Order: sequence, then structure tokens, then C-alpha cells
Amino acid sequence: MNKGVRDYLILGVVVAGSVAAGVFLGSSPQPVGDIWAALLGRNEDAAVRAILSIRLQRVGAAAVTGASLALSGTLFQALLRNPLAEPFLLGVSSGAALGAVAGLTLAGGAAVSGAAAELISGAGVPVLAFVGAAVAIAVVFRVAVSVDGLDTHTLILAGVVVSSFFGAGVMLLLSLARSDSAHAAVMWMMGSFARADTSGIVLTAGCAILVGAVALGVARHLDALALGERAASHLGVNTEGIKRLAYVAASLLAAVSVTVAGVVGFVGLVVPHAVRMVWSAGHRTLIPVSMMVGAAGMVASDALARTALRPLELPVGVITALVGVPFFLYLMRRTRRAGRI
Amino acid sequence: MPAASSVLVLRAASYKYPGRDAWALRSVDLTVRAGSLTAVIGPNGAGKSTLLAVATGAVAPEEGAALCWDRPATSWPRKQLARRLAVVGQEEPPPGLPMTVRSYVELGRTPHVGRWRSLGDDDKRIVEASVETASLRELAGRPAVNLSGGERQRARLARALAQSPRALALDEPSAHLDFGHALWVFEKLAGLAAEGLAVLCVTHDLNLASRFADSVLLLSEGETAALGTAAEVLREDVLRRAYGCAVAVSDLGELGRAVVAGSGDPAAPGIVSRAPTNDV
Repeated sequence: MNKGVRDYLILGVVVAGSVAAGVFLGSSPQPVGDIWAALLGRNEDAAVRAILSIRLQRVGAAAVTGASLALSGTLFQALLRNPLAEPFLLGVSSGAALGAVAGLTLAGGAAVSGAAAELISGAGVPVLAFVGAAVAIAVVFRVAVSVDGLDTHTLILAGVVVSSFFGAGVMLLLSLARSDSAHAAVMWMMGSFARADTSGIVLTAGCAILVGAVALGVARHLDALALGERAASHLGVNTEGIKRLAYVAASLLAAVSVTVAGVVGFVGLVVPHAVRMVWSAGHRTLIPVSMMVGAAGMVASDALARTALRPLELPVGVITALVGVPFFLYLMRRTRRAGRI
Repeated sequence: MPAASSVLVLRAASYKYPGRDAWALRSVDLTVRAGSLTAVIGPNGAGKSTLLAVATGAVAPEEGAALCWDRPATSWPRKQLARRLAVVGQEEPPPGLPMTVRSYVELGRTPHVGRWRSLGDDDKRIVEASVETASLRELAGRPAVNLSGGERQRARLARALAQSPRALALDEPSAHLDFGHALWVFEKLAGLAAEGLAVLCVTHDLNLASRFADSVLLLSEGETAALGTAAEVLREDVLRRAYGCAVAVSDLGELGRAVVAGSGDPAAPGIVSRAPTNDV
């Protein structure tokens, strides 16, 4: 069998397997048969149907978030010519965190009360998170862009500094907050799919598909960017356009995904890197494969987070790191031995 | 002279880097023709790399003109120019993301392949031919990051050839290479010129330039110090003025000229020159 076809088949099985795990496993030990029947519309039990709907929602949220973060990480790594770049390197996460924590602590504090607090802690948090992220993205971009174009070194520096600034704001708010709202804020920052709503999932999915399609259209130019900007421009690449596109698209995608699930680390760093190690391919393959692996990895991690210490639910970020790091180290050792890295 | 054969042309081209007062390039004329190898030589800071940047349209001349195929170099759409002109810059960093040598060479096809298309059979054939020309066959599956200096130069040349260019501009393609590898590079460039390519090559290797270049431009402080055949330019008095040190030149016939730096003091006589060639 053709190696490419075989690889995609394996990938398809992995994605299907993780989706099945996400749907059939959960904090309540519901028999698989019941869930399956409900899935086929043959189970009228309201409780089972409710469980199925919650799980489908979570699987959807995990899949779109995983795909988005993996795609965002892929673009950041191409932009910064560094396989250690990730979506939250340049301040998206701390900007989002400041927005969300501001909402949660204000709603829980004395600043607002009643209906306003309800509104902020509900639909308001994702919006505030996005606004915070967008502010961070805009500030970093504004600092790094000059008449000579977007300078990636300045971008990293500005990103790290802005990230620290927003991080300090988060700490300030947490230190002033009441303990229950501080706890809610910390839980938000750890990331979870429990709060995801359908509109956020659909919005993120739309953004991921759009950015993925655009990125595929410039995939070869992203490859050429690895040679450095001067060499890439001699290959006919509009390097300035590609850099701006990659930064804005990757940052906004990360920001949108944060509104669904909070900050789930590690996926955006490891997935594109791991895919590169196994596939050692250009962005035409890297982009779709990373999105699929990111989706599958996140869905499986969320299933594990729900079931590992049942009925307690772990933050999904704990799982992505605890499982992802050893796997990543194994891959790294294997590819180093094979001399492919 | 027929205009069709003039591929890269500088007409009284001058360039000044932003924020600097001094001219990096001052009123330089040069014509690089199809089927010829032109070497640009000169001391460090003489404006060689600037000349390459101006001639290939990376920057626009402040005064004068830089033409590629009779059209201002910076007015070409990037992609269209990249289909005709391949540029191998100086000290290019190793690729920032992992890729094999073959994928590295395949990047040369970037300007030719449509946005949504994968490499076709023709593209693959050209890539393999470029790999072959640069003697990279046994390295093609290796990671491009850990190549030796000589292998990296070969990989960059292969990438440039994969562009199927009609003109090739290189900045010090023999830098960091031992003389066997440097010879290999110049033999390839001369071979490509003989096949009809216009080759413009910045180099510090005066000996190989004298042997393989059809014409030599000597730059000094951004200006033309000499322009002509190797025999006309590589003369002791001319080189002494440009490089600021005593120079001995020997004519080795088919092997070109052997240029040896003598004393660092330009007033001192050069070391013994067996075959003075000042009378050319």
C-alpha cells in the first residue's frame, strides 16, 4: 500500500478511536450499549440522551480546540522559524486570561451585582477573554511592525514582555479577589471543555477551517520561509504578507479557541513538532495532519480527564502535559537515533 | 551588441543604505550576458554584495538603473523574476525547520508550482536533475540542517538550479570551501554558463575567477576600479591600489592567474613575481 495512503488511514483510525472514547467514556459509568442506542436514536431514556448530548458537545469542543491550537502552533513555528514556538508564546493566553479573570473577579466581587454579575460570569467571560487576547495581539503587532516590515525578533521580545505585563495584571486581580471568584478564575486558566457552548464551538470550527484553507493556499511559501526571509523572497515569496498573515491568523485562532476552553497548553507546541518528526514533510501535509492529530489528541485527553479519577474531573491541560510530555520525549529520542531531526 | 543577450545590466547604478552618508555603490556599469560568467571581486566592504542586491532587484538603485531582461529589476513581479533568476545569498542560515536535502532542493520549484498543486512529474524530474548536477544523490535523504560547508553550498546550488533559471547570481559560493570544493563550484558555474546561463558571481577567490570568469569587475569603495577580462583586471598595479597591499601575479596559462598577497604595506614591492604580466 502507498505509504501516504496508509498513514492517512492510520490517522483516520486514531481520530475515530478518540472520538469513540470521548463519546462512550465519561464520569458517569453509562453502559456503551445505551449510549450507542441513543446515538442511533433508539434510546428514549432522557437521562442517557442528556449524557450523550453533553458528551457530543465536549467532543466537539475538544476537537475544534485541539485542531485550532495545533494549526496555530504550526503557523507560529513557520513564522518564527523555530520548532519550539507555540500559540501562547506571544501574549494571547495572558491577554485572554486577564480579560477572563477580570470578568470573573468583578462578577464575584462587589463591583457589580445581580443580573450584571450573572451576565459577566456567563456569556461575558468568553467575550472578555477574546477582547484581552485581541488587545495583546494588537499591541505586540504594533510594537514589532515598522517601515522595514514585521520583525520576528522584535515580535518575540514584544510578545514575551506584553505577556509578562498581562500576567502581572492577572496576579494583581487574583490577589485582590474573594477566594471563591479567585478559585473560579484559576479553574478557568487551567482550561476545561465543561463550559463550552455550541455557538463558541461552531465559531471556532469556522475559524479553524477558514485559517486552515488559507494556510494551505500558502503552504509552499511557509515552507520557503524556513530558508530565511531573503532567500524566500528570491523564490518569489511575498515574505512580508506571509508573516503578517501567519501572525494575525494564528493569534486570532488561538484567541477564539481560548474563549471555548480557556488556556490548554502544550498541544500547540507538541502536535506540529511531533507530526514533523514522524512525517518530516512540508506544510501541505503538516497543516491537515496536525489539525487531525491535534483534534484526536485533545478529544482523547478530555476523555481521560473525565474518567481517570472518576467521578472527579481533572483539568484537561494536566492530561495533555502528563501524557504528552513522555510521548514527546520518546519521539524525540527515536527520531534522534534515526538521525531525522 | 544585441540587447537580447544582455541579461543583468547596471547603468551608472548607485546605492546608499538608509541612514548612511557614504555610497555603498557608486555609478557602476555592468552587463552580464547569457552564456557568460562574470565575477565581481574587491576587498571587504567594497560593495560586492550591494551590487548583487541591486542587480537582482532586492533593492532599487538610488541613481542609475538596474535592469533584468531590459526591465527595471524591482518592477518585476517577484514570482515571475524568480522563474528566470536564481539568487544564492551569502551566509544563508540553515533551514529553521527540519527538512531533507531533497525537500530543500524542491523549494526551488516554489515560483513554478501553482498554489493548490503538488509537484508534477516535470518538477520532480527537474529536482532530480538538479540533485544530480550538484552531486547530491547520496545525500538527498539526509536532514538539510547537518550538512558540511561544502555539502551546504552544493545543496544551495541545487536549489537554485531547481528554479530552472536563465540567470544565476551568487554571493561567495566558494566561501569556507577548501580549494578542491571551490574548484568544483567554479567548474559547475562555468559549465552552466557554457550551457547558456548568465552567471554573476561575487567571490574572493581571484585565482578561480581568473581561470573561469569571462569578465571580471573589480570594485573598490563602491566604485569600479577595473572592468574587463581577467588578464586586464588581475594586474599587480590594479590590485595593489584596490586591496591596499602588495600583490604578485603569475600567469599560469590555462590554469588562469595565481594571485598572491605580498607585504601588507602597499608601498613595499610584491614578492618575487615569476611572470610579470603588466604588459598585457
